[in-house]
Amino acid sequence: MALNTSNIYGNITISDDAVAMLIRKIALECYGVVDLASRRLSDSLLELFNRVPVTKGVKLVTMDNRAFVDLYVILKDGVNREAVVSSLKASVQYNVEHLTGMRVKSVNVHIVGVKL
Amino acid sequence: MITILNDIDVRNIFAGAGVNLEINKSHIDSLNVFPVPDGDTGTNMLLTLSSALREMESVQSSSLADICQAISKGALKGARGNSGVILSQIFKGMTQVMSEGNTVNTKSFAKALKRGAEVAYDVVTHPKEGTILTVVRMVGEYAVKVANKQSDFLEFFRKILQKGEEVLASTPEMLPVLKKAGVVDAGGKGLLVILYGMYNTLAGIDMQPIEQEEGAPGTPKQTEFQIDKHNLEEINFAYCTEFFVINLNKTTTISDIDKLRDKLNEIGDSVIVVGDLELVKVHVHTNNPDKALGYALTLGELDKPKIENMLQQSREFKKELERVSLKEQAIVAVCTGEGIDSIFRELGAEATICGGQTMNPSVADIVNIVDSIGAKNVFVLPNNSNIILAAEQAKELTRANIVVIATKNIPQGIAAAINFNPEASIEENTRAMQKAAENVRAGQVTHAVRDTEMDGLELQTGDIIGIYKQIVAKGSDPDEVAIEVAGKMTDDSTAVITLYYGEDITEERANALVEKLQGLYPFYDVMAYYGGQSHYYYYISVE
Repeated sequence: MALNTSNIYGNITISDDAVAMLIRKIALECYGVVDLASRRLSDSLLELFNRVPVTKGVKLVTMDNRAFVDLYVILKDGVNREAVVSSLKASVQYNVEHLTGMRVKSVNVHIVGVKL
Repeated sequence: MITILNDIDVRNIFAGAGVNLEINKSHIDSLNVFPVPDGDTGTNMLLTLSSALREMESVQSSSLADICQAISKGALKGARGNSGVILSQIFKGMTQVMSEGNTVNTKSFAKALKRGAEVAYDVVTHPKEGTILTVVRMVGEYAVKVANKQSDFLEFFRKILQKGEEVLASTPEMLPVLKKAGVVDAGGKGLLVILYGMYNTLAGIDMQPIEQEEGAPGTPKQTEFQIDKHNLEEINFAYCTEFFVINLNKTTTISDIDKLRDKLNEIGDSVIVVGDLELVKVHVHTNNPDKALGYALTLGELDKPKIENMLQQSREFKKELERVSLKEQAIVAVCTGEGIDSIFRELGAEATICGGQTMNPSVADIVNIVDSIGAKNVFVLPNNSNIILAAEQAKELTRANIVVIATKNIPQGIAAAINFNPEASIEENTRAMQKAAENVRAGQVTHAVRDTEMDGLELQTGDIIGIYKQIVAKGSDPDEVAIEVAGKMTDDSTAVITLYYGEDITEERANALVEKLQGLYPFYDVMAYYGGQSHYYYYISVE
């Protein structure tokens, strides 16, 4: 699936991968997030060959031209989990809507580890 | 047999729909149940449809796609109120499918209806069942089934219209507010009227105003303000805001329009955002019309903004109500005939319900009228032994306190109404009216409708019979029978004989009878009034 829209010049399609890359970049820029953890076998395989998958740790589903985001994050030790999660959600939602022009329906954050 | 519609047929059926809707507009308006009307359903739908028709007529081309596009665009431009907007979306969906080919057959028409339903569902944030949406969805689904077997448009329309009637009849079961008001959904009715208009055009039938429902002749005349005055809805959002966004920015995308809808949903309800990259129509009830306009300004230019203060409307409405409902007590009489009707009104009846021997009003009719008066205590005069029970039933369905004075005929009812005193207490009035009703002797003169033997008299169809408790006289001339009945009814305590003559009797004839009776009974007062009732030549009242 991909996100579709159109303006007077014609149709615009944004692939899921493009959006996922964007989300990964935004998430990594958030204070307190050290890394995103891979949840997929294909990602782990790529890592074996020393290649960092561009959409690692981001699960994106698009339906009816709306995005549903799941993030698997590793936090820095000693930060307020609550504060990081809420800023992460807000910044992903805002930036994706702003940069792609599409609607983000939900952002779920899963903390899978803490970097000591 | 019509299997294919070309561009001219399509023009014709939509035009026919417009004609039929216009004829039945006021009937649909009368089904409106909401206390603060932001417009009336029938009128709104008609304005929407006629805008579509204007746009359609301005298109000269014979290409079906052009015509369809004009209908869709015209409907959107002219859409008023919720029902209008939903109708415009139904048209949008229908025309999308219809414009795919050069002609339309039953299959594509059914598909068009179904698509119309889908598009209509999409624009409403919280679709309610029991409205026009339900009707169009179920008719659309059924139409697809029918179209598989039926390629003749006439038969096809007959089937889907029948289905439509069924669905419409069940709307009160789905929406409590309809049930309370005792009406079917106005929007759904409007849609059926449109489909009927299309059918009539194809079948070459003249457009007909909707007949009042059978068995419910009580559908009142003063239907404009038929609402439950005991139950006003609270208003959460004050401003009904409506505008168009035109000349959209080049960078505006479809999803920006979707975002606008999301944002409006955060600040209000009844949100409708429909349109495409050329024109967007917005309708929202909100407390922040400034924000609504502000959001929309980021998409393009605004046009024809309309902001109405619904709080003020509601306040004025309530004030109006208070003025009307100052009355503590009121009378509602069931009667038939314009003469009797005006007699009751002169005697202080707040409203009358049309009904009588052959057409008993339903409980819902009575509840409707009682609620529309807005008085705290309502005396109901059933004026027929068959209606007393319905009146008693109505007690439980309305918030007004109903007192049923068990009047069994018109003379009793009139006597009771005469003795009504708006200043007196409820108990006093009840007693006085009941007593008055009991003291009246009532006789009727009518004609036999079948051969029978009753009360020792052999009757043939068409015989004129006089009734006083039982059948007491038989003859061929109403006047003679009336004199005979009056003779049986009078005794030493009689003071007044009153005649109410029916629609079949002229005034001269009634006056002649009065003189005859006066001659026979010089010591009593004899009077005649025009009753206008059908079937009964005379009601005779003796006190």
